[in-house]
This record gives sequence, structure tokens and C-alpha cells, in this order.
Amino acid sequence: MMLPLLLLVLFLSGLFSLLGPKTPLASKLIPIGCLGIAFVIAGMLGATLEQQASATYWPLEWQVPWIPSWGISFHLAIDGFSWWLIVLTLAMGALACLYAKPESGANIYFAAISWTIFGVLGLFMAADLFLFFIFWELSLLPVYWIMLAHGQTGRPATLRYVLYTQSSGLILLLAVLGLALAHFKVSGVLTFDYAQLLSSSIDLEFQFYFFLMFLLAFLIKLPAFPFHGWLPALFQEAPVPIILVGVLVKTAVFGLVRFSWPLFPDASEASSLPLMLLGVLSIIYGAVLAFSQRDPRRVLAYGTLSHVGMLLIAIFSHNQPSFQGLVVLLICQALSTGGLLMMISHLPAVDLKFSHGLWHRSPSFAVAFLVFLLAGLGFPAFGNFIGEWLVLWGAFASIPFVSVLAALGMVLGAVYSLWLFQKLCWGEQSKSPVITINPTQSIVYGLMIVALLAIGFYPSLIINSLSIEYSQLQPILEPLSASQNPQVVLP
Amino acid sequence: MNPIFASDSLSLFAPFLSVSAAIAFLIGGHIARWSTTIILSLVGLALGFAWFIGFYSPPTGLSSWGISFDALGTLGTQLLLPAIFLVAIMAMDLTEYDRKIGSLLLVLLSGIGAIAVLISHNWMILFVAIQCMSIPIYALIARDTNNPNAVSASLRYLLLSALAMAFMLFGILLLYAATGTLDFHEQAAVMQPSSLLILGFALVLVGLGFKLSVFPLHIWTPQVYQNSPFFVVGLMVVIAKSAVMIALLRSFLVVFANPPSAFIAVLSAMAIISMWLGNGLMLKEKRFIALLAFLSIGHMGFLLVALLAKNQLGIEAIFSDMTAFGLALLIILASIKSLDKRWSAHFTIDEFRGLVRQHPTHALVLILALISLAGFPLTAGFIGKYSVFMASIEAHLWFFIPHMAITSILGLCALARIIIVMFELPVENSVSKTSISIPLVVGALALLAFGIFPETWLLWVKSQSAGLNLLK
Repeated sequence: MMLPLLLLVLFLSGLFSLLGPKTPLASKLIPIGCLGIAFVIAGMLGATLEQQASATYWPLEWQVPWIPSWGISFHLAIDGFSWWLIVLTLAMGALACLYAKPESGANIYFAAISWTIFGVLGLFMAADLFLFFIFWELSLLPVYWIMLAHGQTGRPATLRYVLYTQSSGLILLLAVLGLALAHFKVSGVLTFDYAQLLSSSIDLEFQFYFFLMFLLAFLIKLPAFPFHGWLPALFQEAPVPIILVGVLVKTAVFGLVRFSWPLFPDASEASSLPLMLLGVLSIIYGAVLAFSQRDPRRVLAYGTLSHVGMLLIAIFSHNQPSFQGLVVLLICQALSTGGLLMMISHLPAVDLKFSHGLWHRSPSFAVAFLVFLLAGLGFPAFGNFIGEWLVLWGAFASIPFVSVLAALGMVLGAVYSLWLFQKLCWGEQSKSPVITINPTQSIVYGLMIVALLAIGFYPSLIINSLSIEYSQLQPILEPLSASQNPQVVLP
Repeated sequence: MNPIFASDSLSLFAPFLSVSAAIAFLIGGHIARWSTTIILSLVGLALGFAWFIGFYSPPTGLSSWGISFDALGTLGTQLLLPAIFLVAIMAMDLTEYDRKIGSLLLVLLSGIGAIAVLISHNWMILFVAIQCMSIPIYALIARDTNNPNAVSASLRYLLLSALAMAFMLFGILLLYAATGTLDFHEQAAVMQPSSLLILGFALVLVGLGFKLSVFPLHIWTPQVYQNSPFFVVGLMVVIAKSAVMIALLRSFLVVFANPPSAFIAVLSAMAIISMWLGNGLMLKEKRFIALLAFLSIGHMGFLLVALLAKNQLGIEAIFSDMTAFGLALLIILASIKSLDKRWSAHFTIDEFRGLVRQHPTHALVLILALISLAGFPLTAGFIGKYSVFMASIEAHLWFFIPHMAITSILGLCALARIIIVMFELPVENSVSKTSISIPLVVGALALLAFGIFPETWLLWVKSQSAGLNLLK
């Protein structure tokens, strides 16, 4: 019962933000209050999740029939993996709300944030493939809306984003539909239920086609290397809620982990090498392009592409360390990239061809910026380091040379990050603007840095809660031998 | 069940009686100078009577006149009657005072023709019914005196339509020569593949394809639609096309139950090229009504795929998709009239600029209708598109799937373009006085309700078309 309640709270949050009072303070308090309630509910969910001995496939679920004649039910369920993503999404939403500057039309912005989180949470909870698709589309609507209502030039960037995401959505729909009908042919039951489709025995050949379609849909949404056309435009055009990007990237990762491996184990295993190489390519390509941009937002956009490559490697290494690394990376990258984007939104339009010398005029800004950059490039002591290290370890256990290539590619991350810092913060001080950060915003940055450091020093908080779910996600493959895959328990 | 309703002859003629009653009310009311509201309510009551009889009566057998309310006919009538009523309201709303009654009369006459198209099981009856449906439309286009191009548009439609119908008549003749009968079911019984038959069906397809405006026969649509009043566009796109589509479906299921592969090839080509052409041309189109014309061309191609699927799901899909499309289109046509009272030719998508800021409710209604047309999830349009995809996967029409998918995306982008324009800042001298009526808001919410809770609707269509023994 708490699962639909969580969704309801966020939906109402959007509704109240839109229709409720328009004064700056009140319009900010509504979404923050609702997110607070949502956090409490999520905490209670986490507590029940700990105690639950899972008799069925899902430790915690809620189901009502929706469209019985098509075998579709409104089936929500979570496990530890989705719980962490839910908490992360709520946290990102809360940060985006806290951070927002009160201005005209702020209520639209808050409504869009609430509804995006509503959609993304629904997606993380969906245990029915059709429902997953519906939430997949629903989470995009507010993003289109905010891009149109608040974007600077809007039109081409939005249209391009609509084109990419709707193509991916349609491919996903066809894959889901095809899978359900293939299952129907074998078993005589038309159902979209995840747990039932898992135990389906459809043809290997079909499996491969469906896998490719799922994969294509998720790679476009991620985005991975050849499908990243929408990313820089979105980073450049979208206003502050750019933080939503950090949330939306997670949906595709979630989809790959939840659907690709468990539903199509053979096809995934067969194609893991090319996909890991695609990940390496994304790392290098993103980093190289990031280095040649003149707008800091575009640098971060291509940096995100580079990060996504790492996630792809983590997903298709398919063993325990890489899975744990994946979750750690998801959380830490959202924090570090989100922090950088929020900081950059303080700046006027800057051209990276010239140096801007922020270090002298705004030292506190520059220091915080440096900290987020270091976190993003995987500097030890931050959570990103733990994540990347676990992923590389997992990749090494799976296919060693991919791990080597990925590690080399990561060096490029340091190159563009430090170059960005140099261009923004060093140089002549006369031209630089003074950047003021108000107290609320400094608290937000402080919290984000503390979270990054906390995960860096005490990662077992996340890692230990994930070992059960991992065994659930890989029902077919045998676990790696003990020497390759020891239980990770860090101090 | 009331025994009177079970009577065959009553249920057979109820729609005609009701529409005739509506016409009688109309003329009587006009002479007695009743207000338009009273006239419209009486017309609505009369049409509602037919609707309820259709709801409670079982499908009838074939009558000796070659007409019958089989499952297709009943369901089609159930869906067309409300659409006719909506178009009638729009007609009353859009024409000037002393011409209102004439418009309403012509719409109802055309509606009778459309119902006759739905229920004819005989080629000759079908031919006459299509003419009955079309002739009032020529008049409706021509009598719009505000538009200098109205007469030429009407004449263009009339001449091309007469040409296409002449082909169809010749095709019917060849079918008669091949089988010795005009009745669908008798033809099916004596069907022997022959070149005469193929030629006959090809010519019949020219006539039906013209009315559906699918690929090689679509050229007239943008021009004619643009020079018609908005409610006539609704009449042509929603009512006439749906009726002809169901007639084509019936002939395809009954007469050509085992069609030669040449038929399938021709229909497939028409479907695929229509989808590409319609959706592709939408992308750069600025004139709004022409854009809707291309949309409907693409949509008809899409429906042809469901027809080619030839299964129960396909039939249900045709009904779901047609209903969703028709409702959304009527909402759009009814709500844009307040933006522009002039004829449609000058209506470009730039008129929507700034609508979101100036009239949020109006914009919301239009956006809901547009995303439903585009097939976005949780709207009625999605349920329709989804059913067509399901039917074609079920029928293993793999070849069509990529075409349907890509053209759907193209169409979606074209419609998204309109929504994006709505979000832009308004220009200085833009129309600022618009209104939105409550029925339109209700209609838009109905699109949403069908999309979110389609179960009742799906079960109803399924139960209505369950009596269909057409599938072999």
C-alpha cells in the first residue's frame, strides 16, 4: 500500500505546485514538503525491505488489475536495487527544489520536477512491462514541458529531444508487445507481468531480436555513443532543472539491468563483448569531444557521455563487483555532475577559448567547483573512485583487456576536467565576474560534497545491501569462482 | 429486453427513421422559429433513440434489400451517430444565422448516406449509398459564400469523385459479369479466381480508395479540405471515411475472404505509401488544414494494415483507432473555429503561437487532442495505435511493423511541432479573444479517460463484434 502512496504524494505535489499559491516561498515549500513526506515513506519502505523474507519474486509488491483483457495489471514492486534508485531520485529532486531561484513561473518548474520524479519513481517500481512503458513516457512529458516553457530558444532542441526519446519509446513498446505476444504463443497466457515473463521459454532467435530492440531503446535513452545527438543540445538549452538529466539517465540504466540480462540471458552474454567495447568507445569519444567544446555545459554533456560508457561496461561485465560499482557510480555521478551543472548555472555565458580567472574573484566558488570536478574524474576519497574501481575490477574479472582500455580512457576524463578548471578559474582576474552564492545554495553544495565523501569513505553502506538483489538479477549464470569474486566488505 | 426493440424491421430501420425524424424536427422547428438549442436537442434525442435501439437489439439477418445490421453495421452506426450529432452541432455553430438549417439538413442527409454505406451488403446499394453520402457534401462546400474558392473546390471534388465513382460502377459491373450476382454473400459463394474478378476489384478499389483518399487517389484532399468550412472537413474525414472504411472491411472479409495475392500486394503498397506520404508531408506543412489532410491520409494507410491483418484483433483495432482519431479530430476542428472565423485556407500553424500563455485551458484541450492523434500513451489514440500494432504482430505482418513505427514517429514530430509553436511567445497582433466550450473540455477528458481506463471500452467493442461470423 505504501508504494502507490509514494506515487500519489508526488503526483499531488505536482498538482498543488501548479495550482497552489504562486508566492515564491509557498511555491517552494509545497514540493519540498511533499518530497519530505516521500522520503519518510521511502524510509519506511527500506525498513520493511530489510525485514521481508521474500516468498514471491518481489520482496514488496502491490497489484490491482488494470486492463485485464490485454493481460495488463497495475503492478508495483521494489527490491533493494530499485530502492536505492528511488532514494537517489528523491534526493536529486529535493536538491533541485531547494536550489531553484524564486522567479516568475516557478510553480511550473516545481510542478514539472514533481511530475518527472513521479514518472521516474513509477518506472523504478513497475513490475509490469506495459506499466513500465507508460511510466517511461510519462516521465518524459514534464521534461518536454519545462524545455518549452523555460528553455532559451526551445524549438529545435526540444524537437530533437522529442524525436530521439519517442523513437526509443516506440521501439521499447514494440519490444514489450512482441515479447508478451511471443510468450502468449508459447504459454497461451497474455501477460505483461515481469515475473511471469522471466520464466518464459521463448525461441532463442526471437529472444535475440527482442533483446536488440530493448537494447536499442535503452541505448538511445542513456545515451551511448552513436545515439548521443540529443544530449549536448539538452544540456545547453534546458534551464536549471538540468538536474533532471541526472535522474533520467538512470532510467535507461535501470532498464538495462532489470530487463536485458534477466529476460534475455543468452543474448546478453553473447553480445556483452561488443557492448563493453561500445562502452569504451563512449568513454573515449565523450572525453575527446568534451575537450574540444567552448561552452562548459557542452563539456559536461560530453563528460556525461563518457560516464555512461563506464556504466555500460559495468552492466555488461555482469558480476557482483561491477554491479555494486554500478550502483555506487549511479549515485555519485548524479551528485558530482549535478553539482557541476548547478554551479555553472551561476555563470554568465562563458567562452572557454579564453581564461576567466574565477579563482581570484570568487575563491569559494572555485574551490567547490574543483571539489566536484575531482569527484567526477574519480579522485580517491570520493564515492566515484570506489564505483569506478569496483567496475574496473568487475570488468577485469570478466574480460581483462576491456578493463585495461577503460582505465586508459578514464585518464582522458582527468584531462578535460582539469582543462575546464584551468580555463574557468585561472588567468587574468580583470575580466572575471563576481559570483555570489546564497546561503541555501551553499548548504546544498555542502550536503552534496559530504554525501560524496561519505560514500567514498564508507561505501559498504550501499554495497552490503545489494548482494541479495544481485543474486536475484542473475538467475541463469553461475556465480564467479570465489577467488575472482570475493564478497566485498569494505571498512 | 423490450419485445418491440427485438423486432427485426424496427432495428433495421431505426437509424433511418430517427434521422428522418430529426430532419422533420428540424424543418418543423425552422418553420415554427424555434431556437437552435431546441432544434439541436430534438435532433439529438432522435439520434439517441436510434443509438439505444442499436444498443439493445441483436444483429439482424440479411434483408431482401441487401442491407443488414450485422455486427460491423451495428457497431459502426453506434459510433457514427454521436459523430453525426457532433458535426451537426458544429454546423449550427459555424454557419450564419439564416443558413444554419440548410447546413444541418445537409449534414443529416449525408449522415443517412453514411449509415447506409455501413450496412449495405450489395454492391449496387453500396454505390448508391456512397453517392447519397457525398452529394450533400458537394453542396456544403459550395454554399460557403464567404470563401471565393468554395465553388471551385466543390467542383473539383465533384468532378474527381464522379470520375472515381464511374470507375467503381464499371468495376461492380465486371464483378457482376464474373459471378452473376451483386450480393456480397452470394458472390462469396460462387467466387472463382479470374482475371475479370481482379480487374473488377481493382476498379472498385479506385472508387473506395478515392473516398478514403489513400495513396494514388489522395491528390484532391489538401485543396478541397482547405476550402471547406471546418465542420465539412469533420464530415469528410471522420464520418465519410469511417463509413467507407467499414464498407471496404466488409467486402474484404465477405467477398474476398481468400483474396489473390495481387490484391494483398496492391493494398499493402497503398497502405505503406500512404503512411509514408501522409506523415512525411506533414513534417514541413504550415497550413493547418492541409496538415490534417495529410494526417488523415497517413491514418488511413495505418488502418489498412489492421484490415490486412484479417483477424478479430484487427477488426477491433479498426474501430478503436477510428473512434479515437475521429473524436480527437472533431475536438480540434471545433476548438480552432474560435481562433479563426475565416475559411480554412489561411489557417496556418502560426496562429497557435502564444496560445499556452494566453489561453491555457484552450491550449490544454488542443494539446490533449494532438497528443492523442500522435498516439501518446494514456490517451485514446494510443489505445487505437496499440491495437493496430497488436493485430499486425498477431497476424505476423512483420514487413509492415518498421514502416508503421517510423511513420508514427514522423507524424508525432509533425504534431509536436504544433505544440511547440503553442509554447512560443505570442506575437503582438495575434488573436486574443478565444473561448472554449465545456463540451470540448469534456471531450478532451474523454480522450484521456479512454486512454487510462480502456477496459470498459475494449470489452464493449469486443462484445459488439463477437457476433461477427465473418472470419473464416
